[in-house]
Amino acid sequence: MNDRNRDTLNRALAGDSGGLSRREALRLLGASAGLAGLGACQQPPSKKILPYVNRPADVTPGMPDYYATSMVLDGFATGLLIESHQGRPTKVEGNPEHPASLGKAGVLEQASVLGVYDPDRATQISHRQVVSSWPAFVREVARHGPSQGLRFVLPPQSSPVLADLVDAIAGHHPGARFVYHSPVSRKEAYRATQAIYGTPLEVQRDFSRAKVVVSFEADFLATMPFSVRAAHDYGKRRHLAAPDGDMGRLYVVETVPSATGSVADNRLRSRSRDIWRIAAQVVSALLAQQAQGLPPALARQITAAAGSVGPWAQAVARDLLRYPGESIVVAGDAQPAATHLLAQVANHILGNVGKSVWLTAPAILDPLGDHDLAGLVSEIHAGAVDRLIILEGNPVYTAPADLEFERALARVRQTAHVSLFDNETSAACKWLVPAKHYLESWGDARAYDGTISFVQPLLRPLYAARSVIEVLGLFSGRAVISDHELVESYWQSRRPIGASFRSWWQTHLQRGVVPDTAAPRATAQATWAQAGAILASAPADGDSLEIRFPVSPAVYDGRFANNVWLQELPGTVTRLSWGNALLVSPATAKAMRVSDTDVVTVERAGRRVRAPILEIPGHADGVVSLYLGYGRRGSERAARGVGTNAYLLRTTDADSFARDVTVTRTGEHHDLALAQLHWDLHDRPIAFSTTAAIYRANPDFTERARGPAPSLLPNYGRSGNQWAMTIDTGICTGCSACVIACQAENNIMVVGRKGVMGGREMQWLRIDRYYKDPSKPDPEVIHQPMLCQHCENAPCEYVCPVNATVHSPDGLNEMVYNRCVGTRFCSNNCPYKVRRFNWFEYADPSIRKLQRNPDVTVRDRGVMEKCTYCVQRIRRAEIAANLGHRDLRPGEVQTACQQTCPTGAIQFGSLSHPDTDMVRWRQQPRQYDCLHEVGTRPRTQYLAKITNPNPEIK
Amino acid sequence: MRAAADPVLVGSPTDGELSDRLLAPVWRAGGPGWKILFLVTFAGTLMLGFLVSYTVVEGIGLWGNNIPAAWAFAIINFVWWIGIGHAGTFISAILFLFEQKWRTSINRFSEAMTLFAVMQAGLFPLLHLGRPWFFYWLFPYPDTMEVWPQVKSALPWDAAAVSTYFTVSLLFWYLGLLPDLAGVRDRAPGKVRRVIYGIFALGWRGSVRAWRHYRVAYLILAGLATPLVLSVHSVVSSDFAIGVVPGWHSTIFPPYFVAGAIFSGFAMVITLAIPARAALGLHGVITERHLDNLAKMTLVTGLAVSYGYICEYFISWYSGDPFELYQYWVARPTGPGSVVFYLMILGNVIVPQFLWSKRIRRNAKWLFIASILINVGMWSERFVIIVMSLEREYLVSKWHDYAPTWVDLGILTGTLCFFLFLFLLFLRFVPFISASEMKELAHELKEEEKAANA
Repeated sequence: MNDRNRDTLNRALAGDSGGLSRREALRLLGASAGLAGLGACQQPPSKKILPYVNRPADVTPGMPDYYATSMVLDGFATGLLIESHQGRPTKVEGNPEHPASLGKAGVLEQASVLGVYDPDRATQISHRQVVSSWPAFVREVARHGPSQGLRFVLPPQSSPVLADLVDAIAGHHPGARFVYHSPVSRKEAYRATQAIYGTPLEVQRDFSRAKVVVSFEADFLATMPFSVRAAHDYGKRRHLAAPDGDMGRLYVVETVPSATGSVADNRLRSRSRDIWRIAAQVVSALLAQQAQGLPPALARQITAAAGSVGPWAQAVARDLLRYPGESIVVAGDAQPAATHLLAQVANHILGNVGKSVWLTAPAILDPLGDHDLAGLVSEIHAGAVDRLIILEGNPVYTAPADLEFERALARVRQTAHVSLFDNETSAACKWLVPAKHYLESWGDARAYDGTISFVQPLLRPLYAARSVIEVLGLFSGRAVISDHELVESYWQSRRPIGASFRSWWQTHLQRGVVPDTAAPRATAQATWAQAGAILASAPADGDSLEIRFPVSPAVYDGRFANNVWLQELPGTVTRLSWGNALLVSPATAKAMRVSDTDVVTVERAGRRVRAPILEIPGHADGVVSLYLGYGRRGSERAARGVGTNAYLLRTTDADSFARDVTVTRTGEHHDLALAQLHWDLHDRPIAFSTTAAIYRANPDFTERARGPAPSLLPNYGRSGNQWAMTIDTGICTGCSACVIACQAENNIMVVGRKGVMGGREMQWLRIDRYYKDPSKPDPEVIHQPMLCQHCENAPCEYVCPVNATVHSPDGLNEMVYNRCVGTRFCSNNCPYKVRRFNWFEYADPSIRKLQRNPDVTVRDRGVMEKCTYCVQRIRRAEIAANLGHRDLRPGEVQTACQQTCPTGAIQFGSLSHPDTDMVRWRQQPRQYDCLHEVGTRPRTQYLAKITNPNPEIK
Repeated sequence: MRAAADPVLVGSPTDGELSDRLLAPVWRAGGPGWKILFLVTFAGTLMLGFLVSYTVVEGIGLWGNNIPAAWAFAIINFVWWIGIGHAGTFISAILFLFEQKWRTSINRFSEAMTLFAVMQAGLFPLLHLGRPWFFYWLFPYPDTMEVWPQVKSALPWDAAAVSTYFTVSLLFWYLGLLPDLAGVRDRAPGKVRRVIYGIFALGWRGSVRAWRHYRVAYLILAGLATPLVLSVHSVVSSDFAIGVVPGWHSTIFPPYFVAGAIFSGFAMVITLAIPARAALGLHGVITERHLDNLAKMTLVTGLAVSYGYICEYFISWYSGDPFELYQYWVARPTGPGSVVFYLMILGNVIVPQFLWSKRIRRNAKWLFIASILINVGMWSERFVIIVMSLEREYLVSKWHDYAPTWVDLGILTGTLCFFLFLFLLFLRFVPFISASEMKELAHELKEEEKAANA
């Protein structure tokens, strides 16, 4: 373009078109048209791309790979196998070789795979809300020399690599301190063992052999460390194979109904602060029979503290004494040290220690918490802290309210938060370093029993994220290296003598676990040195209203609050999703003149929160409880503003329960997203339960709900594999791991709070909770996993106008999404109401879609869907069997729910394999069909819940 | 013959007078009342169009339906509208076959009512589908994949029955309209009207041959339409009766539904006839005798409906089925939305009893109120059967209440407006009382009078 033209163009662009002649206008038009193409005149991309001709080894498109890793929760590792589709982790399974899993996984593990794809994850390193970079952060760390005022706050840890880094940092920064903080503190348990043995120890328990288990508010089947393993052992122990079988007995004393409490044979409701006294009564009754081994002074102190021993404690003690060495007494983490002490006293008296119960060194660092948040806050106020690094966790949200941690943080000169999310704490810190999800990290940890477990990444970090050990490494004075190098170099220096590191490393990474590394049994002798002092510190009783802060079985302490699966998961006993509520017993609600959905103000020591009421039968009287983990106010969109923040009422001296609470009505209402609104069986043949004694005397008590139903139709001849499922409701704890497993496996979408309230939840598998006699203050709970029953005479099939739901030759009730027009007649005609309808386009377009299982169709708006018995797994196994020219082997196909069920309550398989639990179970006399008389002939059958209550307790 | 006391036609107008009286509204401009109503119902129709589009775009999650109540307003409205349609066919076909003279002055507009009601009804099965764009899969069309509808389900039969019903009703109505369209063509002022009506009159000349064919065709169509009155609602009732849902699974449903349909249809005829008669000054054509007869039909069918209720309750008790016992004796009278149950009892059981009284039967005002209550009662009946049964099904854990959303209410209101809108158009542009049949009736009456006097 020549100058003249440019001039003209400039003038034209400046709006000065006065001098533009027709000729010029045409010339410009031609020029611009000609120049327009020039933009494309660039070099073609010079980088080479490679066609996918020779595929990488081990990668077959369409075939998933499995890698072993571990999920670490507050220091304790659970070994997992992760299913990965071409580099996308999609599904979590338990690692059969890992002692904390044995192939099973809990709710949090199952849901964790969605966490890596959380669209609200922190993506950028930032400094004062401005995007920064890792080198800038590294420079910032390096700028300061060794300092006295360096503090770290991180969740409890058991990682050997991290322990090594902690030592290195202590060498480099002599004054550095580490505060291991978790809102779910286990300190009281360690205080008790220290009082007995002189050093904090971990109590290990073997539930697979125990004849009598007494739990003092210990939810050991669902929310305690190692609970997946405990549930596995317990399920094996409790499954009743025949009417005269032995099933042991479980006593639970608790405040808030829990998964463990719901399967108890005898349950006692009590305020949290009174539970230690019940424990004292049991121990006192035991001491009356057998007192050797215990210092007489302690025995006297216990007897005095217990006061008069009630009939319940007497009966429990008598039962315990019948099985010396074969019982377990366990106290919950929320209980004061006195309860833990008394539980251990009972184990000693009963000779359990060394048999069903033993002790090991704790897997976690600093179990007693020598440095805690309270100490840190006073140091900050004293000006002793100039750098505070918060590694994961969310202390601004979870710290006791009286510490006013957020205010303290503002006084520290330099603060950094390594976090998955830009949460409450990140907002109060100067630096935010996105943390790696465990599926992106290298690491190691110990299981509850001490077994060394490895964490290996399934995918490269999606964002500019760093793991905790990488950040800690910056402070160690060593070279800046990745977490991979940190872990590998650490273990290289500690490999077993003689072995080649490469092969040792590869073998154990592959297995995810180093076998036989469980902590050895501690030989410490009980000296009972400070037992008296612990007992004396037990809480006093009194009449004031108590509040209990249980950890949520779904979102835990709030760290999983942005996981939409967990938000939508109905509570084990509350059946509440998307939020928490102030739980009260019906009697207490009546006394307080409140009822469901009433919004109340809960006030304690000048702090107050507002929460809706939810009445829960079986809740202790005189107590209200509020799950932790809700009422978040970080940047996580799913979690933000859902429910009430219970932490606002928690203080340093009352972190699991508190007294002197007042509850006042506000007159407002808040609708609750309850997944189930009715729980009275109305004497309908839906779920059966009875006691072991009645079952022995009358094994055919489910007779009216089993056997062939009369039918006018001829029997349809079926051959080959016939798929079926048997569920033992006796060992179902309602933990809901199966629900999340199903959701992950089958691409089930969430519908949100309004969807749940509108009765539109999509979970293919739900756990119905019934109260056998709801008018009782402590009714028996029956959990009934309810999924498509794959009826042989399916009512849904004959009403579909377009043949969209049909029966397969192998006994599956199939749903043909492509053919479905969405009349919903099938759902109306399903007596079990297990069909789900896509009322809207529910498919989540966010990055969460990377989690989806490519073997399962993502359903469109307007079609029906339901449980398929994991047909994709059946077909995959069939293809493998066909390729091997063989028949399917028994147990070769596992459904997602069955595979993860910690207690093994769900059994699936082919009726043509008679030598499987699935088939054997359905021949038990307590087998029944849900709604047998409707004549649907369901393939999913149930075993009645049998409890074994102590006949001496009325 | 009680013609003197109870005329079906007041006076003895000549053919010309009748033609003028009955055809004139077609070329007379609508009055202000008509215009206001027209605008209101047109606005309602636009709203319906908007809500239908909104539903198709977003999904039927916009409605209050849930699991267990996967069917609700759409199916209630469908059954209600289809039921209303039945009286039209009953009047025009069955009463024709039984040579009931009094049907003449009301058959045309009750047929139109049928047609418009079926149009409203037809909207819902389509709209309630999750994927309405595949509605044609319910029909047995020759598909290259050779996939056919599933004939064990009632729904393909339902689709067939409703579309047949609509077709036959349309043909029947149109055929009956031909002589009058020709009459309008011949008498209408202005060329445009003549051309338009001329096209629709299909060249009717009123020749004896044409009349003969017309008679035969009309009789055949009446014969075809008659079984449809019974079959359509029987098929509709199997949408429920073949289900296992307590409250649906009942063999009484087909006759009980047919009775209910005719019951509600007659009520709707009364609802429409009384204001139309007043507004257009047709007291001489739609006489008290007509009202009386309509009310009697309503009473009879109302009693049949009540009998259906008694049967349902008796069988639920007699069977001893705990699910049905709960459904009928607990859920309906005391469960969620039990107000609707009592509205049903009021409208369908109590209100018809007042029709034993001749005074009420002949009092336009009271009869109108009764007919409205019956319409409400019949809508409530469908709510009770469909929604309340689903709300309290077998599995206690999945009991869930239902509440409609504003879209549900908007669509119901929209169809009412659309129905009235069509009806207003009909009143304005089509001779809404069959002039030819009225003339025939006048002649017949005259002959009868002569014979009686002779």
